[in-house]
Amino acid sequence: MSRLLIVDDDRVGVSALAALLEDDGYQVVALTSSAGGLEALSAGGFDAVITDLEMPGLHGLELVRAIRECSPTLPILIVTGYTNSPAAATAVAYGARRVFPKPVPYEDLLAELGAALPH
Amino acid sequence: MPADDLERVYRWGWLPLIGGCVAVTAAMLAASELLFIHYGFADPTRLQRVLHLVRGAVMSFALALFAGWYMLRLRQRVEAARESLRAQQAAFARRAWKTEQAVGLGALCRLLVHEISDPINGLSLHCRLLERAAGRMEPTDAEPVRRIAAQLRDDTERLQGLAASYVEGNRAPGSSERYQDLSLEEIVRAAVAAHPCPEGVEIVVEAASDLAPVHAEPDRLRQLVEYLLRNAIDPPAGSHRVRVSMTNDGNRVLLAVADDGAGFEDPASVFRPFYPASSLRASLGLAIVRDVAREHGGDTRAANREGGGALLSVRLPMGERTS
Repeated sequence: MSRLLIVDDDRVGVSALAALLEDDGYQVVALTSSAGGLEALSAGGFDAVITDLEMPGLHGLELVRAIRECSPTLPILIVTGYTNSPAAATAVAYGARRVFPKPVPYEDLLAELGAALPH
Repeated sequence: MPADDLERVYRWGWLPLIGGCVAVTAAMLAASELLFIHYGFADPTRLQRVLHLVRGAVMSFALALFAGWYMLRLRQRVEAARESLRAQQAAFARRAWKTEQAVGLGALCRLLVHEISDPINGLSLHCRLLERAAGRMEPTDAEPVRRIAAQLRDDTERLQGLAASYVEGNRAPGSSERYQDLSLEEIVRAAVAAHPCPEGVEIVVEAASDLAPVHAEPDRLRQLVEYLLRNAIDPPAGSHRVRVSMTNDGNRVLLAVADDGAGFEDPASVFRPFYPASSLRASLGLAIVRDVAREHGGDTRAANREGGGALLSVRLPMGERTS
């Protein structure tokens, strides 16, 4: 079973997304701060990361960059309300696999996860 | 004629006119006197003297009439020019107000679209959860739940479509080229120069000599700077000295606005919409600042300074350095 890390400061959204992904067979750790996300990642054991960009404290871009520095191949998916911003483009430049808008097109997200993770 | 010149003529034009009248009358009387002497009227009769005085008085009266008529005409012209200026000023103020309202409304709408994206996301995902939960129920129980979930999903999609169409509809033509490498210092200095600074408030602008450009959308960046300045200058901040500084901070450019005003009651809440509730403009300005910063991949911070006053800082993504 693939293990996912979701980082988003919107508690309601993150819990709903975690519940859906768990229902679809993923093991999910959902966190609401990027600092917490970094700490969880340092322990390792995740197969993919889904993160928001605009979060208080550590910006999502910093999280993406930190992930890339310690784990060059870990799939990173971005979920953001600002899909056309330079931040989204920079996240892709840092190595994020794809940027999804909010509300999340769930089927597309699921398909992307399926393509990114080894079966 | 420029308005200032007209005003000067209007205020002081009577002086040379009256002076001119007196001078012309005196000259004509002197000329008459010379004529009397020249033609041998060295000892004029009483009648001749009276006629001479009457002629002088008539001449003065005629000149005074002319001066009065001229002043009246001048006054009418000045009044007409004043009226026209007033009308132009009023029209300009109306246009400026409308433009400001439109820009503010646009920024507010974008802020709201971004603010509602999280709740819509949560609603949309919960609709899916509800539909899945209905799938595990008995068919008779599941039917109304499915119906409600479908209705909720339709409404959510409609809301999402509205928000998306607004954001897309507000993109400038050639939107991929909206973001440019811009000199933050130029934008800040232009905003300071254009902003009507209240009496007794001093704004000091400082920029690092090697300040990198920021990668941003010009109009949105101007909006961000404008609202930051307003927050520091406009009541109820009550600042006397505002220091705007720009420095490089890693791969970001840091814009900091420090003032010596009243500071924030709750620095953690200042970027929330409608905080503080004292005025609509103040309460949305900083929320728009945060929205613009986020849109650009930047972030915002607010704090109270130790010596009093507020410190707002915005970090924006750095553009490419030319040297």
